[in-house]
Amino acid sequence: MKQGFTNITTEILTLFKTCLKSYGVVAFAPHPIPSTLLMLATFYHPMAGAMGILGNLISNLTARWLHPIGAVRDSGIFGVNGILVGLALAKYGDPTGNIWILLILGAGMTGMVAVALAGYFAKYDLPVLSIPFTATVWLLLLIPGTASLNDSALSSILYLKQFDLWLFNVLPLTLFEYIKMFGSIFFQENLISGVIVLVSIAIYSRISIIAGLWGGILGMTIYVIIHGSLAGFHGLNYVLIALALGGFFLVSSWRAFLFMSVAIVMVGLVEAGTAPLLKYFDLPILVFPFNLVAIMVLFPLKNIVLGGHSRLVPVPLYLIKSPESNLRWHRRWVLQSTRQKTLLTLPFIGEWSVLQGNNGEWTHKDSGRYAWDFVIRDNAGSQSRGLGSQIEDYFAFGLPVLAPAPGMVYAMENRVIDNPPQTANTEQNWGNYVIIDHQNGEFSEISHLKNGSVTVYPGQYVQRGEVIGYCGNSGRSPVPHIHFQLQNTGKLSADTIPTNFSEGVIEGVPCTHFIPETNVVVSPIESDEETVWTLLGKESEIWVYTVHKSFLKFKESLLFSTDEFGNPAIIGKDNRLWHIVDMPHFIEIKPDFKTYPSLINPSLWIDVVGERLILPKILMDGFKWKDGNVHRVSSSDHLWDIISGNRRVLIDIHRGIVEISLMDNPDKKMSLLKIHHKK
Amino acid sequence: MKQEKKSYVKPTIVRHSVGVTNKYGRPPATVPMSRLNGFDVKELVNEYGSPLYVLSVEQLRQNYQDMFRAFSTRYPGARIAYSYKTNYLKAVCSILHSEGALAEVVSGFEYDIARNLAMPGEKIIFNGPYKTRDELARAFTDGAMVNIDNYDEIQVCEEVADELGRKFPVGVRVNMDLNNPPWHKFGFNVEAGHAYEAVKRIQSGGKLDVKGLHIHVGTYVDDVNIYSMAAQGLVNFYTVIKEQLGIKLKYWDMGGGYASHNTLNWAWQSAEYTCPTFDQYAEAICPILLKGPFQAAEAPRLFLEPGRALVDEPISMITTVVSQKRLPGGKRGVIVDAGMNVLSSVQWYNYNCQTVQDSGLTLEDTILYGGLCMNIDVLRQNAVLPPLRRGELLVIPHIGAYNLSQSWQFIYLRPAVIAIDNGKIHLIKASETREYVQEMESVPKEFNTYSIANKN
Repeated sequence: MKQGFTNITTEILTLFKTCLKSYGVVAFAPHPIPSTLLMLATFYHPMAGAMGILGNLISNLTARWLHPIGAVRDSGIFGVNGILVGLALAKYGDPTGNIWILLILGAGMTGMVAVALAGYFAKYDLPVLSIPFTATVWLLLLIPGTASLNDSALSSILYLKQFDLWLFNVLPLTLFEYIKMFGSIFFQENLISGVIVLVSIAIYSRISIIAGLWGGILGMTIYVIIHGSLAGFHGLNYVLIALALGGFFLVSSWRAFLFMSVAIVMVGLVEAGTAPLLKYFDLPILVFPFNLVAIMVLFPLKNIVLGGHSRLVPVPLYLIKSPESNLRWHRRWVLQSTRQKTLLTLPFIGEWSVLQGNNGEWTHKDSGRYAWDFVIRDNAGSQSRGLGSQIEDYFAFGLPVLAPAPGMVYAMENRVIDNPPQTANTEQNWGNYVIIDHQNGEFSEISHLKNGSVTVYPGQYVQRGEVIGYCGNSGRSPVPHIHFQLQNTGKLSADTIPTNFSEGVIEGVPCTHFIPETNVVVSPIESDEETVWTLLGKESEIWVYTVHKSFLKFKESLLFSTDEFGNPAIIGKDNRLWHIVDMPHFIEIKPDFKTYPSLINPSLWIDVVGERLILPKILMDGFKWKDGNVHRVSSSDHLWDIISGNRRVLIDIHRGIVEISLMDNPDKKMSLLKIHHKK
Repeated sequence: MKQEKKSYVKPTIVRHSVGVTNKYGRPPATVPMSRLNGFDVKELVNEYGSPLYVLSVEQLRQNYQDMFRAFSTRYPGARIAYSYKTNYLKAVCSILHSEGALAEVVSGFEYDIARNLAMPGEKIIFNGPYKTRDELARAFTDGAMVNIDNYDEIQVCEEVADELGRKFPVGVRVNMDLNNPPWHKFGFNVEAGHAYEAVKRIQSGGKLDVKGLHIHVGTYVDDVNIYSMAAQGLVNFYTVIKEQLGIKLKYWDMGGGYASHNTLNWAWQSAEYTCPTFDQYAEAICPILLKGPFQAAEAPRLFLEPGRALVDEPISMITTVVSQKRLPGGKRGVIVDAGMNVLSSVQWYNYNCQTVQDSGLTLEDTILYGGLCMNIDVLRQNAVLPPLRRGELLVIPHIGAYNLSQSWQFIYLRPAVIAIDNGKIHLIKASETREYVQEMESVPKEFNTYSIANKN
């Protein structure tokens, strides 16, 4: 019983939220505050406002009944069409007729059309926009007797009307028309509604408001050029196309703005060309030009790869939250696709010495410069026992070689004979090798292995640290050594790419993200201590954390997910994303955005891990990363207290990170962040 | 100039078999070893007396580094724990600890030595069949790794854990059939199911946590296959207890038993040919262990407990000829001033005796006697040696393991030990004095009437 009641309450709440959001979606500003304001803007004509609400409700109910996917159902796009049906009928319909019945039928119908169209468009990742609304209203208005004879049949609130008239007299006509244009998005062609729409968009997004204002100016100009005057100007199509392409469906950039401007011109042409045709049927043009042009430009952008080099980036619909969040998403994408993605550990066991590092003196030059040769030297610096006349005398010969990161073996060679010392086989330069595809566009190449020693075969998956072969002296190798390089293709002798190793010990000091130089001694981390804690949180888990700020408490949530490349990440508000680098011996949390204090969003989490945070996983007193400035302060059985920079992190070895707090301002109340797992 | 008078040696006819090839094989090298680690042997004896133990620090460090490199480049996190019982001279242990070795101790006494050398508990492995309750309590408190040997010890450990109010990680010593002399005195047998039962018993007790497995395959094991079998046995056993009892190991301990370059009494071939290198041992053990039931990143730590292999070669003994005589059977006998009390490994090794002076090439089978007034004190039954005169010196190399820790004071005082490090001599143990030997003794007055009377 109670369960059922809760379900109904949740359903009603969701419906309410969706209905409210729908108002925002009309002006491409889906956020509660703009949505509320925009709803108020429709009540310039109270009856129109009421009709909008009814249309919204019916259309959304239809979608809830018909559409299978919750996320789409609650996106507000169905409500948009319902609202517009209501508002358009209020404007163009005959109020003396059975307009409410017409509205109920029309809104239901537009809901159905929208569901059908959404299903069809989903394949192309195209938005439904207000196409269902346009079609439905045209159909309704074609029914004899439904269309209103004069344009302004609706009564509006008297004081507002008077105020509007006064403004009309005070303001220059162009400015009046300009502001009115924004109100026309909701078929409220008056100054007050226009101002409310402008304010709402401004609250929602700086990018949107700039796009909208520019779209208005350009649209008016084009209209005047085509028609000679502002007579009969509505302008909603120009504003809508500007808002849609200026940052909402495309990632904003100067190119997107240019593109959007061209689209505005197209809207002007479509409008000018279709208006006479529609006039023949006594139909208003509604948002037809906007819909047509938007679909026309989005379809190719989303579905036809323009030579692979399009700088116009359409945003996948499910990701769209705001132009700013789109921008963040795109910046992240660019950043990640150019950054080394593979987390590498050293491909051997124990202490090895770098014979030749990056830009080495013998072979690591030009396109092959990001490579390493590793050998073993004893304390006296010798690589071999005795004179080293046999390859077996060399310490490195026959030692295991490991996979530096997980992946699939892409290619290997196993048949090249090992050279005697101080000779090189330049016919088969690479000797016996293994190429591992890390399945992120990066490939490890490890070569000069011992004849017949490769233990893996192409297609086999290997784990980090798995033995793939044994060190040898095959190929262009005068002394037994391990050659390692990272490259962007699986081709042998492909160009090397800038590479660092994620963790290791250089000359006795544990380091993260390092590039070993020639002649340094490096080894994988082997702590005497067990690695004891892990970052809790599995994919798609939601963590709720509480921010304590003096006497205030804020609850926010984080989603444990993956980034675009499938690596673990935490996703916070507005597409903010923290990468989680989970290495055998440390965890790094690094943000993919610049830290800035936010007034509206008191998310201390952002401030706390705004800079990258490197936390060792090994319990060892005084353990210190070379570049991480991390050490353990104290520990009880389960709790581990780490200071990293100006942050203090409390780790429960069974639960993961428990608290992160700021150290640098002891005068202020220390702000704590707690994460606890929510079922 | 007065010529030194030579002692009389009864003339004898000796068949010469020196040549490029003959049916007796190549004679032992007779190039005199006048210098040891860069120092004149005679001068060392003049300075520090005879007999004398001489430690080469370079050789000791080299042995450790060779072994560590061999294992640490084949297994992530391999650690060497020096087996104290082979030679617990403080200087020797300190040198190895400075190289990074852990301590493997088998008694409270040895444990105390390690702690006294500032080894933290976490770097001590406590093995052996007999550990007292107090020693266990101390080891647990210090965080040492304790490998349990028998059921009674499980009981004691649990009582100790109860008293200390904490759960302690422990290792379990196991033994298995490895086609070599059985080593069943220690630990729980795997084939008979005792080891499984012991692990189950410890886990179900809830007071201890099995975190390690320990095996020790024997002593002077020069067949690396035995280590491979043991490693495979550990992997198999770990797989079983991991699957059935949910055990997650922190370490496994392959024990010691690695051979040194000393030929055994009963060996057919010289140790020069039979003693495996550290790389061969590592190659026999590490790849098998790495195939254990775990991801590469979670490999348990590997401990090795060498003693003999590290410390045997770096120490030599210099001894002086006391007398040479002809035995009734016609064989030559030579008596030296070091006895089996300071060379206990005589029961194992065919010592390689090196002359220091040029004594000619008249090689002859010789019985080498120690200096004790005991008929059994024979250092070698058959040593091929040139004629030796009283006062001449012999060097017996590779005697670092066990001889010092097992030496006993008997008839003579025990000799000094010197360490030679980069051309510098350090006296690391002075020769004993009568006062030192009798320090702990006391004579009740009632027994003492004779000496009191005579002193007055």
